[in-house]
Amino acid sequence: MIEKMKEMLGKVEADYADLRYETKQVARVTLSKKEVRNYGSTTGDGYVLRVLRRGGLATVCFTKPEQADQAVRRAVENADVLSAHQKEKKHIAPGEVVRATVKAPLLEDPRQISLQEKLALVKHYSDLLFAQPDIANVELYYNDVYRDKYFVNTEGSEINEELVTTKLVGAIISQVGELTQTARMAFGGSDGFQRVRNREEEALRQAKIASDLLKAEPVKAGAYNMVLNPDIAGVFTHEAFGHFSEADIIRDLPAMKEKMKLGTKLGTDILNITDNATMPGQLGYYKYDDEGVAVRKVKLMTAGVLTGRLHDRFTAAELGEPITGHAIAEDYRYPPIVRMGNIFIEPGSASLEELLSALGDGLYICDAMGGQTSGENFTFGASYGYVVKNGKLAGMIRDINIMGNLYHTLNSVKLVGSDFELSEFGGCGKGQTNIRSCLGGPSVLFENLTVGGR
Amino acid sequence: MMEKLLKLATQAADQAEIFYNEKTMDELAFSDGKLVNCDSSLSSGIALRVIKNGRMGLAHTCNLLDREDFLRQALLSAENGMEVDFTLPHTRDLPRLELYKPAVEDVSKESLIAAGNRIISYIRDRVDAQVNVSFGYSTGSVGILNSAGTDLHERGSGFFTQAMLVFPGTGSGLLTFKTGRSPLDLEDADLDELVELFRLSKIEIVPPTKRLPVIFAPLSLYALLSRFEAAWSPVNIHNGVSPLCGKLGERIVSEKISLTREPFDLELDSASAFDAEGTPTRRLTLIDKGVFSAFPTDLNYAAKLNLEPNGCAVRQSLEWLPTANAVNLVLDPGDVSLEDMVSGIKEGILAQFLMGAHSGNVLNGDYSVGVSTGFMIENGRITGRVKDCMLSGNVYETLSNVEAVENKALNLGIHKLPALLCKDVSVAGK
Repeated sequence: MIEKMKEMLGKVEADYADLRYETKQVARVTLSKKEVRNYGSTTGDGYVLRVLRRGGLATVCFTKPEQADQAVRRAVENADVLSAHQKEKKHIAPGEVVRATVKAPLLEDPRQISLQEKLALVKHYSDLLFAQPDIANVELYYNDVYRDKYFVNTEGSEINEELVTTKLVGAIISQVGELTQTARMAFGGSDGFQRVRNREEEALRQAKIASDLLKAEPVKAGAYNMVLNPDIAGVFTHEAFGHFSEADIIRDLPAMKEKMKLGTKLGTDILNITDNATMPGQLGYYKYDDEGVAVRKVKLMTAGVLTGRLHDRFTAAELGEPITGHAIAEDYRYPPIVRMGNIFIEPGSASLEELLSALGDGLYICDAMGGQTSGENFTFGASYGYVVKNGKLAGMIRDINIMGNLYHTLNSVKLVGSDFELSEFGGCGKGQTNIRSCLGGPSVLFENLTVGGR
Repeated sequence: MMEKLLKLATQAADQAEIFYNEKTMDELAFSDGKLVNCDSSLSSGIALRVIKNGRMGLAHTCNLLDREDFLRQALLSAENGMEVDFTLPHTRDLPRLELYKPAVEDVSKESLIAAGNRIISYIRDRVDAQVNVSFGYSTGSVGILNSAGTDLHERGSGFFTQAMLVFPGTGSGLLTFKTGRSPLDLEDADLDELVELFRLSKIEIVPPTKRLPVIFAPLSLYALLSRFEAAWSPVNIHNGVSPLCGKLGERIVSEKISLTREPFDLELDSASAFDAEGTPTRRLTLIDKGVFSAFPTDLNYAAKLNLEPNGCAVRQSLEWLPTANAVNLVLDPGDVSLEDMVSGIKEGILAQFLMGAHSGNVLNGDYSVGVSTGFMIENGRITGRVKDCMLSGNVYETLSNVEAVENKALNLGIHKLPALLCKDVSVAGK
């Protein structure tokens, strides 16, 4: 494959060019109310060509090898259009020439397990959950995604890396009369099928939460102090801060670039935030990004001060900052963009009891149900929570959605827990889907976040 | 090539269907007044669906290298696939829709750059702001062949232009856009409106926490419509988990609301004479003056629910089996202008963009969303931009409280929607 790609790339006249080819195989089993909805595997493949000519960088994605000449012509034309009209020319930051083959680090390879066995496991969880009190419906989605990525560039890099992601996600729906409530379960990771086996205890814990939620009170609207558990603190870190650590977002928002200069104090002294996709075993693990750069650990915030940013080779050159290996594409249909790999707040020293005691009166919010960023504002939903009175859990609450503002919220972190967990669900939808975007952290005490409610 | 595959699949399975598509797309974007992107994509794919021994299977590929292997994948999928009891349609003699406008092929990047620069100068002459402008244009085709003899093919084109003004120091802002099948211009009137609202957005206001009237502008209505989407999904109705189960013929929202799927409105993106399974499309009123009157179906769930398929099958991508969903929706305009809506409000919110619409108890109709772009209305005029503001409620309750529907609908590409004024929405702020 590499030789064929080098031949295609050889036809490009450019200052720099790279070509990515990948195949993606997805095995899928989904079950809705005990009925099989999807069973099988699908395959896709395609190419992404990027061409830099006289400061113009253009991308052409194409499907068929016979389109290669057309793709080269278009990419060159597009780059020339950009070069002719761009005031600021694009430059590429220096990177090492890499020749590597990287196999997915798997304990149990999902590609070696039959679809029948996958279906049997999903049915097993479904039967287990349906046997629990108040459970009216269970929707389970299993998939494993195998991406076989080939990358060559005009500097001489030749890389083949496999990424295998296994996930079992479930929505557990409880019902009494007309009231329904949902709890989620998510097992999976980058290191194999064993991640989705033997998780019955956690599945049952979520079924109990779904049932308990039927008796919970809807949260009242207003501003609260609150402790977030690791899962939702991770979503907070991703939505509220992480996206603004992505250099392409900052590059496109000059007024924010000014506010987000490295060295700026934006958070409280106890706040340390890191992106580390090199940690083995977690969902976001990879070795080389989609520009062939080895990913590295980046300390994004140290004692409340901005100390690092996530980059591709072009944003690094533009902002004059080090390359970090965070150019990631969803798959063969997309050019890479800057993405978080595995973001978290570094743990502190407080126990959960100490966090709740420091909170006094407020909310204890648990488990994420999706989040979104728009400008400096963000929202995230929570699966469930509790009213906290005088440092003690009072009643359970539901229907929780939280909103905040980047600049205020980083300064409202008052105490950081000693616990630490990384999510097995993750994921991010910044234009493209990144199923391996990992997040997590400790429990964290915040002041003054807005909660919607009726 | 497709015929050979279909023949092979028909011999091996009881029923077979091939869905294929091809698309060429170009995009051009300016950020902060500077040209930054000029990219293209040439994509295509094939999905093979088979039904064998009452079970359905699917395979997908981009490059059909090995026909036999591709068919094997589909048959393996059908071994334990979903149990189904429907027959693929034999569709022919459909009306020919003018979905393809050759003018898109004549678009030059130079002309778009000139148009982009004009928009940027026009805005910057009037207000000091970050201006982002983008253009996208495409041509493509889809086709369906099946073992019942259907052989359908449609070619289409698309064009999109958008201008955004970014609020200083943030990433959110104000948008104006146009979408259609041939090249379109943003007109001065569109830009003037944008500039005027931008000027009003300089003052930031945290609204009080209380129940207030809220105008949901067309782009914000996604947060409400997505609740209906979950509720009228035939899967959720079949599973008995939708709040709309058994509600056909009943009033579910205000009589001011009428919502119709218009497959023949050519200005909308998903206009087509046939759906993703080859069933002929038709006009379908889902909500008729507040009464729940129909829900979208595909072949599979129409059969399970003992209904006629109504041509609403869509494919979110070729990697997934078709499902039923209502796109190309038109919400009937009312009789009040947006200006009159605003001037009639003593204290309220104009919501333009909402965030977090995907979280919460969607199926129940609950929403609790952040306002990323919205305005405070006081004594009949817009007094500033809201910040730290959330709106919450239940779609059935909120849309039962519709006081007015705007007198024109905005073409969003996916739907055409007017603004809605709803009273008594829970607002969280200070």
